[in-house]
Amino acid sequence: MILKKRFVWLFIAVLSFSLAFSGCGSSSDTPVNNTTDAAVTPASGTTEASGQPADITPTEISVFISDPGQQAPTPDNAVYKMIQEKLGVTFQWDFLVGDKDQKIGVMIAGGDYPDLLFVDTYSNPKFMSAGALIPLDDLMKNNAPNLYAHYKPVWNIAKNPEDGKFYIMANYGVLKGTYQAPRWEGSAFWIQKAVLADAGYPAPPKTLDEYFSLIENYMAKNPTIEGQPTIGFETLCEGWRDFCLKHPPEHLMGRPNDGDTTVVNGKCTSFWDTNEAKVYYKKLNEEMQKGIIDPEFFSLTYDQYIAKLSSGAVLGLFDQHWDFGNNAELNLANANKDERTWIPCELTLPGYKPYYQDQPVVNVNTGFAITKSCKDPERVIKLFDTLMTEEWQKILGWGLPGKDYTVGSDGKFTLTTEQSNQNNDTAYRLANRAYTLWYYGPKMEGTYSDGNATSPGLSPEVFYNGLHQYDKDFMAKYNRKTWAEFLTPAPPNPISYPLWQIDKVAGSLADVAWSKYNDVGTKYLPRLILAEPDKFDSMWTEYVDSLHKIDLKPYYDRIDSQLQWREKNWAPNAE
Amino acid sequence: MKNTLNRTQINDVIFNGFNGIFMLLLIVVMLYPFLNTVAISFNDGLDSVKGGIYLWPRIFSLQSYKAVFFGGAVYHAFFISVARTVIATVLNIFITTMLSYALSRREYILRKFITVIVVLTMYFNAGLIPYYLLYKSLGLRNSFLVYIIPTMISAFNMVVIRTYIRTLPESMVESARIDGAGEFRIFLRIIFPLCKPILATVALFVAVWQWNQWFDTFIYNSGVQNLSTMQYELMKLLTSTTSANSNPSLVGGVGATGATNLVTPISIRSAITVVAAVPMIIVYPFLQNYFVVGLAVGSIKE
Amino acid sequence: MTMDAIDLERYRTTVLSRKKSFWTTLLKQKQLVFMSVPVLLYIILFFYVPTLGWVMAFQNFQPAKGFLHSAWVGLSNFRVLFADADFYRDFRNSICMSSLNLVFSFSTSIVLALLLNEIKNRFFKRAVQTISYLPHFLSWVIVCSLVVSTLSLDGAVNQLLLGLGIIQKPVVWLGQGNYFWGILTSANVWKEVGWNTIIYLAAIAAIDPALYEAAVMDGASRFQKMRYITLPGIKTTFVILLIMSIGWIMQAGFEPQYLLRNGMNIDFAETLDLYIIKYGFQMSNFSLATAAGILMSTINIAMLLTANYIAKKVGEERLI
Repeated sequence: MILKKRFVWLFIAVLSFSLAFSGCGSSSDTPVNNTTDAAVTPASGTTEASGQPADITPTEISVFISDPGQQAPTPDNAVYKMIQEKLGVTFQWDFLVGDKDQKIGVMIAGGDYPDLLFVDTYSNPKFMSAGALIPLDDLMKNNAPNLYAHYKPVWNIAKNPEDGKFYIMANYGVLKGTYQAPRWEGSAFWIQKAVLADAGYPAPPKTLDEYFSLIENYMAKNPTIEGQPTIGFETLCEGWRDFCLKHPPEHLMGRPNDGDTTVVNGKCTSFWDTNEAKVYYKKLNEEMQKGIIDPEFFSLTYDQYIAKLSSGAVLGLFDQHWDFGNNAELNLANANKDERTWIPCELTLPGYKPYYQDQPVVNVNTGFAITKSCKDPERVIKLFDTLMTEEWQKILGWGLPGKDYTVGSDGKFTLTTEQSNQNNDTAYRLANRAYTLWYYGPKMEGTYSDGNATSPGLSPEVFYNGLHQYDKDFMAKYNRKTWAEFLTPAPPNPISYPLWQIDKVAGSLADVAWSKYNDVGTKYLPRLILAEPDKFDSMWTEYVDSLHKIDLKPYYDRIDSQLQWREKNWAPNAE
Repeated sequence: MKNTLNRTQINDVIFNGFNGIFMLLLIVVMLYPFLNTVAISFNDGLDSVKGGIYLWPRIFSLQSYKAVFFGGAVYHAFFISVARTVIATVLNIFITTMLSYALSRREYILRKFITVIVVLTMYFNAGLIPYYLLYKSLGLRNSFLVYIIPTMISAFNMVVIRTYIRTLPESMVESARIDGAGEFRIFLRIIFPLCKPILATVALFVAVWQWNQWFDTFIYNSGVQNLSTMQYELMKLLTSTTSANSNPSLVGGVGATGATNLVTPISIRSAITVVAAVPMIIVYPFLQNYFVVGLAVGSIKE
Repeated sequence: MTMDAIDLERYRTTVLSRKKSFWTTLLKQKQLVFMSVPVLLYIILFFYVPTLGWVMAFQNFQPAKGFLHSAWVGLSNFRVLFADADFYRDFRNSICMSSLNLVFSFSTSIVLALLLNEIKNRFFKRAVQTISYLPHFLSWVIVCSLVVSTLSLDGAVNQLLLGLGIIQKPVVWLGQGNYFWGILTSANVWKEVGWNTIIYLAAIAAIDPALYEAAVMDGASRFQKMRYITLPGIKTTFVILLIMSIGWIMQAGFEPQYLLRNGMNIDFAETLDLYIIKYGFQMSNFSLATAAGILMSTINIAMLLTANYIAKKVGEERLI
């Protein structure tokens, strides 16, 4: 549950940086601009706006990243070395390895904090209630003009709902220039490209019936794919990845990815017991009877799920792209089986308009915060201020010109095949990029003042150059240039969106109530799909009754009160 | 007479045959998963995701091992791990055996009291935070000693050794005592050497436990790279590979060249298993001598 | 002197002399005291002092406030446990899984030790023994992924049973709760049997070879030697290990259950350890986790003492 919440935003992140490294090839005929390091080395030693010489006496900043998944850079990492030389700062990293709660628990109980903490929606309330973080309002206004200018437009969204102060430098969702993601990394029903190609490139399906009839037809013609039995539709309900099984109804109801519950008429509502949900699971039950759905879906581990997708025999699935794009899809593409990869479909039930794609959201409560143990908060905030200049942002987002990316004669940033591969290589990145600092730190997203994308992942050129010919041809059939264009453009996010950012407060009645509710779903949904068709209705009634036995009021109260706070504070006219 | 002998011999042959076949089956069942893990560890990471690798890699690659040894942090951590394992095992064995001997003496007046206190420690756990606060106040945080001090005694091993000591012939202790030997002398000169099989066993338990520890590094020493243990470094690598956000290199990187030099959780997990297990597998046969081949107690008796 | 006074006098002399004899004995045993009392103090500091933290079971403990300033809530954490139907379900699952595990891991490891002991070829014996201990070094993640693939629809188990005609169509083993305990116990036995055997091998190694020689002279068969020499030789070890293990009856583990559970078998897969992880750690409720921990410890110790008492009654070697 906790993880799920945390992971939903990851795709945003993953999207921006890494997609990009798909770039390749075509730039070999572009003259390489051999800019020397010196020419692009940022103005160091001064913060631009103030013009005062900044303090560059050597100092060490200890950082704890309360999020698993990072590795320490090598001691002679090119970018960190540059930061050390120009700004006098070295980092002492501590990355989360084991259980987050235990680590945070002892940290708070012992009162030992590093200078800088990466907190997220989940850990933030714990550190806040322990008084571990210091407010940055005055610190930023007085010392960090760049940083303040960066956050000013989203100040009200990013501030703490309890006391209205600013503690956390959100790492994502503060946009600049034009923001254009070429690939949709979020939720969708996915359909294999070969299915559409075989059907003569019809418009992508819009309803459950269209979707499954395309799959059924293809499956009837192709009972096996490369010797493997064809799987019409696959889903997963392992651990926090159970959103594959649990979230489709809200999308079928024309709602964006709000998470476990959604908003109807301004109030938080469960969609689990709705008629729409019943229609969906009944459809799955029917498809199971027809042999379209994998009968083992409920016991699949993530590894098995990815292995099945990697075989190319899976025609359809509901998932978020980042959950399978980096392994299963990559495998198929590397084997030149691009026809076995998938495109997103936005299915809805009759009477609903699709709303899958969203606008980037400010990643509230997630980012770096300075702790009360920090001896020189001013120095830390000034560091981030300097790093917020375009020169440093380019170094963090793209690397060093000539080495990590190529600057064309027209000033466009591109990647050669070699550069793209280097960036794919973990070892290379640990030695040459300041990925951790970029990923978790405050950053620009969109385009720089020179028109270049802020990172390779947001560059349409880098994206399109990296495509295989099959994909280029496939897109041409639909007259599109990016995968994101296969979905309805995102409307402006309503204030209630996204609901999943609202913290349930670990251990509260709201949290416990939700956990019980979720358990009922885990237990019943596979049974409903596997049930004998004539038993479906009675089992559905049993399921809904079990859901209703759980008192969700504390949960709704918590979410609704936070929604009210947002209404008051996030509206454009709010101060 | 001759008949029965023959029958016994036939029975023996049948028994040995079946036993041998059973053992061969056992070898297959026990060995296969390990060999499978080794095969995956040497296979291309992305390719392993597809499954279907059995005893031999499909696309040979050393990338997982390169990832394990990349940056060199593992080498230093290896020495810390060896140091903690050796020091803690020696100390633990000595102290635990000494306590076991004292508590094996039936005439010892505090025997029962101390035994109860020691044994009960196996059945409760004070919880992480109280331990943390205690170790912190003792200055064990950010210190090598946190690997040694809290694990100097093991109640389970105490019981096992004590049980063993009690099976030793009491007459030897008695005769030594008549010769005027004190308890320390009896313990060091008579009991300790006689306990070799059980000490080898217990040493193995302690060493494997110590070797596999990463939790104490995580809680107490995670901020000090110099004190990092090998298991902690391996856990770090595993966590960084298994977390969805960590591997941008894996994401969307569909290049025309099809760069495949990627590590995946499945390949890293296998490589880590092999790297972590190999030292213990190498040490094992040396300890095994003592409990498989057996100790001629009779010969020492004289 | 009244009768009472006589009794009192008698009482005084016995107690005093006992007291006196206690100290004299202690003085006489000073070497044993030196060997054990410092260790005792160490154990009290490192194991018993931290249990002061158990007060948090009676508090709404907040790490930021510490033990001194967290609010007292009496027994409400225990009440939460007893009011939760899931707690009873997980309680049942824990006891059943650990009992099954106890029975099967003890019997299999003893049988394996006996069979290993019968192998005459020293090299073969060592090889088998080393290999049987390898699975101990595989993490549960790896073991469980093997379990899942072996039990899948086209996995080895279904293939085998179909081939032998025992089943007509493949069984979804992990989709039915009533198979779960068996699957888990088998996985556990497979992973740990070689490791558990080591301790019995050590016990067998201590048996005086002269006993076997004498038995051979008397014309004892292989099974008679096993029955009358080897088994009695490891009985003490067996009884002691059994008593200790009975004290861990509540510890059914959590990793394999966590990795093998799914919506269909969840009613048989959740253990108390998972319960504590879910409602204690994941929800930052250290108090509830501690309360459940105290409860488990209490039951464990009660089981331990009972087992120890029974061992004493039937005249077996005992733990305490």
